[in-house]
Amino acid sequence: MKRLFKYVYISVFLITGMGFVSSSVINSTSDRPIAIVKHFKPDVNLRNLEVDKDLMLDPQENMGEQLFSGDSLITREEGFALVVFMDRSVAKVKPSSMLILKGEVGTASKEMSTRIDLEEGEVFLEVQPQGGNDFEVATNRSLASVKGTNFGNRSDGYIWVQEGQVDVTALNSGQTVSLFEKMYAQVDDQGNDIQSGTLSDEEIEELDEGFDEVEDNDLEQKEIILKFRDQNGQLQEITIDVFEEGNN
Amino acid sequence: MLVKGVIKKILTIFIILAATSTAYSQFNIQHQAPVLFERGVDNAITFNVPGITQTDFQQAILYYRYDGASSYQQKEVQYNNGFFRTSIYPEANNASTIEYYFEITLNSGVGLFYPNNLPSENPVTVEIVDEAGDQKTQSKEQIEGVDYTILSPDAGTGVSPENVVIAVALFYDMQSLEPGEFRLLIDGQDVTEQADTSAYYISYVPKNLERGRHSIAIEYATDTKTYAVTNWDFSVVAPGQATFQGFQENNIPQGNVELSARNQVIAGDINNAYSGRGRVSGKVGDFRYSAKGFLTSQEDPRLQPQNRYGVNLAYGDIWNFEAGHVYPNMSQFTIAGRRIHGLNTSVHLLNENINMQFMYGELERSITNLYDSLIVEDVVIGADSVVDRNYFLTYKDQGRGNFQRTITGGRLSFGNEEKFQIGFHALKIEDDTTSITNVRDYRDIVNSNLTLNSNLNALEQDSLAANPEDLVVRSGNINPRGNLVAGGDLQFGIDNNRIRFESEAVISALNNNIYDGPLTSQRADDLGFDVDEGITDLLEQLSWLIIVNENMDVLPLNLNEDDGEITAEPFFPTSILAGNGELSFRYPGNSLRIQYRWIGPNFNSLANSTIRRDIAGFTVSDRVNLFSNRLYVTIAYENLQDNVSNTRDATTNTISYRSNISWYPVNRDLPRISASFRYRTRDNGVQRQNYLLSDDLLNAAVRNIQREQRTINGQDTLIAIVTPTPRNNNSLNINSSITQQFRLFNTRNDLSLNISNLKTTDEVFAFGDVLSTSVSVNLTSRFNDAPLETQLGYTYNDTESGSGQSQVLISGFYVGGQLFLWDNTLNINARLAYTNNDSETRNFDVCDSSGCSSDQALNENPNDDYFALADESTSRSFGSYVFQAGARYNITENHALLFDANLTNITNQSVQNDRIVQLRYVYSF
Repeated sequence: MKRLFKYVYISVFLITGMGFVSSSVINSTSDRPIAIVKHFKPDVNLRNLEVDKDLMLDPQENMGEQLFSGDSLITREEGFALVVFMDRSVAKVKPSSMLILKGEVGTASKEMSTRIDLEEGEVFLEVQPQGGNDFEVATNRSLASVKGTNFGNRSDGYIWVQEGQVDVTALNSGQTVSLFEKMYAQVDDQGNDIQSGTLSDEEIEELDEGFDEVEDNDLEQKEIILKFRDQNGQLQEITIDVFEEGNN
Repeated sequence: MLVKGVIKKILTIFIILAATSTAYSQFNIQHQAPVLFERGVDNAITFNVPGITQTDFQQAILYYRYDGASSYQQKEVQYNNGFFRTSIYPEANNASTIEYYFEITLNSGVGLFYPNNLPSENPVTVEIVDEAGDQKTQSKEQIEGVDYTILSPDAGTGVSPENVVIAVALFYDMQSLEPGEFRLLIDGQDVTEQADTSAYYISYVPKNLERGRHSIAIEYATDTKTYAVTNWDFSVVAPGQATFQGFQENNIPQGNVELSARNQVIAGDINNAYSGRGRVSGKVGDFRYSAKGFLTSQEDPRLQPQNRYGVNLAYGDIWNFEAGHVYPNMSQFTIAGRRIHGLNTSVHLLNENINMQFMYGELERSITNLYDSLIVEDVVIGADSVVDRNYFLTYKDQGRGNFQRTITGGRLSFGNEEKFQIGFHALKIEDDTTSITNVRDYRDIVNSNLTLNSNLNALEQDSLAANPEDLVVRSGNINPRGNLVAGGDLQFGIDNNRIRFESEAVISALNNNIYDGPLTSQRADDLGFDVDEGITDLLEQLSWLIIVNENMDVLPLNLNEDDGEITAEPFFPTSILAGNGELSFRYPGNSLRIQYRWIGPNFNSLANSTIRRDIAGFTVSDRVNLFSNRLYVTIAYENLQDNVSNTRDATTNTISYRSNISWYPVNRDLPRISASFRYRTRDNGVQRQNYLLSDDLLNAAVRNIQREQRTINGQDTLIAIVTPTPRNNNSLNINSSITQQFRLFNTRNDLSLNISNLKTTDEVFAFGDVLSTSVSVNLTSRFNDAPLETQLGYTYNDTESGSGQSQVLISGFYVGGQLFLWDNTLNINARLAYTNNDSETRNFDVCDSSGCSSDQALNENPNDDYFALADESTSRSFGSYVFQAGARYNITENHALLFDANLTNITNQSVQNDRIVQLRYVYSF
C-alpha cells in the first residue's frame, strides 16, 4: 500500500510539475500573435468569445490586424482575407468561410505549431518549409499535415495540392494518404474513407479560381534592361525596375 | 656656416618667388573644391585653365594623399577644351580626409600649381564621408541573439500606397538581452511611437507614404548603444511604374575610336595637330580585358612619351596584368601611381592570402643630348698674351637629355590584409649608361660619331687629346643614377577590421653616378684611402642590385686615420631609413587615428618625388560622426621635427592644429557645409641676432650674427659668429565651402561657394609674411522647360607675399551653357571667361651703413648687410578673354562629329590673339 501511495505521490507531483511547466510555456507564448491579416476585403469578422473579442475589420483601421490563438476569422459573402503567419506561411481565405486559428509561437526561437480548424468554406495555403514545426488544417472529417507546400482545402474534406506534399488523414478511421503535386483527396462525410486521384492543369486552374481576389498585393520587381549610347558614344545599359502583379 | 646661412636665405627668397611666379604667368588655374568626397564612389574634380591649349603643356598630374600621408599618390589628368577633369575614388580604408594639389608642367618646364602657394604643404583638404545610402547600415553594430521574420512588405517589392503594412516578428531570449527597446525607422525617421509594438512583434501602417523607394530599419536601443537588427527596402508604386536602378556592367565588348584634327594659331605660329584615340573593353565571365591607345602628331622625342597605349587583362580577383603605359602602386615609400612603360602584374591566391606583384619597365625614356660644336676661349693676360685655352661644350636648343631609366620591382605578401598580412617589397631603379651618348670628356667625342671638334685646329685637338679632362661641359654632365628601395610592411585588423594597424619600414640607397661601377681598391687608393678587399668583393657581388661607389648619396664607409693612413670601415647610415606606423580605430560614431613616421634625410625613391624627407613625428586625429553621419567634427594635432639624423645646425619643430566641421544632410534641399581651420607654427629655436643692426632692421638682416667672448692668444676677445638662420613663423589657414540645391522659376540650381584664407606671419624675417584670400562661386542651373543647362561663376584671388614684395590680384568670371536639340542629337555649348591679372613686384636690395647696392658699393663687412625692398616696383596688368564654343552632332547611333573652337584675347599686351579650331570624329561600338 505504501508503495502504491508512493507512486500516487510521485504521479501527483509530476503532474503538478508538468502543469506548472506547461502553464509557464503557455504564458511565454500566448502574448504574441500567431498571424496577421495582411490584406482583406470587407466583410471580415474577427471573433474570440473567450476574450470577448468581436470585431468587424475596417480597411482604414485594421490592416495588419493581429490574430491570436483561439481567434476565429469569418469572411462574409463578399469578404476575402489574406493571413500571414509568423513563419511567413500564407492562408488565402475565400468568401463565406470560417476558420479558427490555434497555435503557439516561441519567443526565443522560431519554433511554432499552427492549426487551422476549417469550419466552413475554403482556404488556399502557401506553407513555408516547416523544419521541426507543425502546420495542420483540420475539418470535421479530415486532417491535412503539411511540410511546405501550396494546397487548397475545403471544409467538406476536399484537398488538392498544387506543389509539394500533404499527408491527409481521415479522422474517424485514421486512414492516411500522401498527396503530391496535382493530386486531390476527398474524405467522406463519416471521416472513414479517402478517395484520391490526379488533376489536370485545367482542373487545378479551376480549383484555384477565386483565390486571385486575395493575392498578396506586394508587387514583384522585374528588370527591364535598356541599351543606348550616351553622349560620348559609349554603349550604356540602364536597368529599369518594373513592379508587376506577382503570380502567387 | 656662413655659406649655409646665405644659401638658406637665398632659398627662402627663391621659394617665395617660386610660389608667386605662377601667378605672373599668362595661365592661372581655377578650381572649385568639392565640399565633401563620398567614399566608394567616383568623385569628379575639374580644373579650369582659361586660354591653355593641348600644346602648351607636357603633362598634368593630380597629387593626392590620405590623412596627411608621408607622400602623395599621383594620377594623370586628361585635358579637353580648357578643362582638366579627373576623379578620385576614396578607397574603403579608414581615411577621413583627402589632400590634393594639381600640377601642370608647361612645355618650358615651368610648373603651374593649384593651390599656387607651396602646394604640397598647403594642399586642398576635403573630408571623406561614407556613401549616403550606406550610412544607416554601416553606422550600427549588428545585434546578436535576436532573430526576426519580415512579414510585410517583402524586401525589394513594390506595394501600392493603400496596402503598405509593415510587420516584423521578433524572436529572442529576453533574459540574455541587455535592457532596451526595439525601434522602427522609416527612411531614418523613428516611428516607434506610432507603431503597434509588443515584446515580440512590431507593426505599423503608415499613412500617406510617398511613392518611391523607402527603407525600413529595426533597431534595438539600450541606454548606451543602438544596435541594428535588420533593414530592408521596398517601394511604394503603382502597378507598371518603373524606377531607375542604375548603370550596370555588361558582357558586350565596348569601345570607341576618336580621330581629331586641330588647327591652332598660338602667338602667331600656325600649328596643325592630328591625333587618334581608341579604347576597347569587355569581359567574358570572370575574365576582363581592355586596351587603349593614343597617337598624336605632337609626339616629340625630346619629351617623355606623348603617345600612350596599354592593355589590361584580369581574371576575377586572382590575376591582374597591365602592359604598356601603366601606373603601378606598391607603397607610399616606393611607387604610388607614377607612369612607367612596361608591365605590372599581380596574382592573388588562396582567397587573397598569398599575393604577388611584379613590375618592370621604363620609368623615363632616353632623350639624346643635343650638343653644339666645341667652343675655344683664350685665356689672356695683359693685352694680347694668350697663356692658355679653355674648351667648352654646350647644349644647343636646351638639348640636355637623360638616360633611359629602368625600374624593376616586386612585392610578396602573406595573409589577407583585413586580417593579418605581412609583406616584403623591393624596387630597383637604374639608368642605362649606354642608352645615350653622354660626353664627359674629350675622349667621348673622339670615340663617338659626333663631329663636334671639327672647328678645332690640329693643335687644339692634340691639346685636348693629351688632357681630355680639360673639356668643360657647360650646364654640367648628366650622371646616371642608381636607386634601391627595399622594405617590409605589416598590417592587421581586429574587431571586424574596425581597429587597424598598418606599418611600413624601408631602406634606400641612391648612387648619383654609377658610371665607374662599384668601388674598387684601386679607386679607393686614388681617392686616398684603403678599403679591405673583403669589402670590395662584397660591393662587387651587390652590384647587380645596386652599384656602391664613392658617389653614393650616403657612403656607408667611415674613414679613420691611423698613423697617417686612412682606412675605410663600413657602417650603417640610419639616414637612409624610413618608416611609418599607423593605428586607427574606426567605429560608427568615432574615427581615431594615430600615426608616427620617421623619414631620414637621405631616403630616396626615384619613383616617388613627393616623399617628404628628413621628418619625424606623430599625428593624432579624431573624427566624431553625429546625427546619423550627417555632422562630422574633426580635430587633429601634429608634431613634426626635421634634422632627424642630427646633421644640421638647428632643428625645426612644426606643430599643426587642425579642425573641421562638415554638415552633410541626405536631404538635398538642405545645404552641405564644410568649414575648417589649420594653425601651424614652425620654430627652430634660433634667436634673431645681429648686433650691428638696429632693432628695426634686425629682421631684415642678411646674416644672423652673435658675439661671443673667447680667449685668443691669452686675451679675452669678442668675436662675431654666424649662427644658423632663425625660423619662427605661424600660418593660419581657414577654408569654408557651402553648396545648396534649390528650385527657382522652374529651374533646378546648384550653388557652390568656396572661401579660403591663408595668413603666414614670420616673426624673424621681415619679408616672410604671406596673405592670400580666394573666393569662388558657381551656379549651375538646369531648366525644366528647355533642354538647357547654364553655368555662371566668379573667382577671386588676392595674394601678397614677401611682406609687400609681390602683390597679385586675379579675378574673373565665366558664363556658359549647353543646349540639347533634336532629341539630343545636337548638343551646342559655349562659354565666355574673363580673367583680370594685376601684379606688382619689387626686387630685393642689399644695403648696409654705406647705402644700398643698387646705388653704390657696399662696405667690406658683409655682417651688417640687410635686405630692403627696392623703391621701384614693376606693375603688370592684363586681362584675358577666352571664348569657347563647341557642338556635338550624333550622326547615327555609332557615329558622332564634334567641333570645338577657342579664341583667346589678351588685353594690355602686345600679344596676338590665339585661336584653336578642332574637329573630332567618334565611332563607338
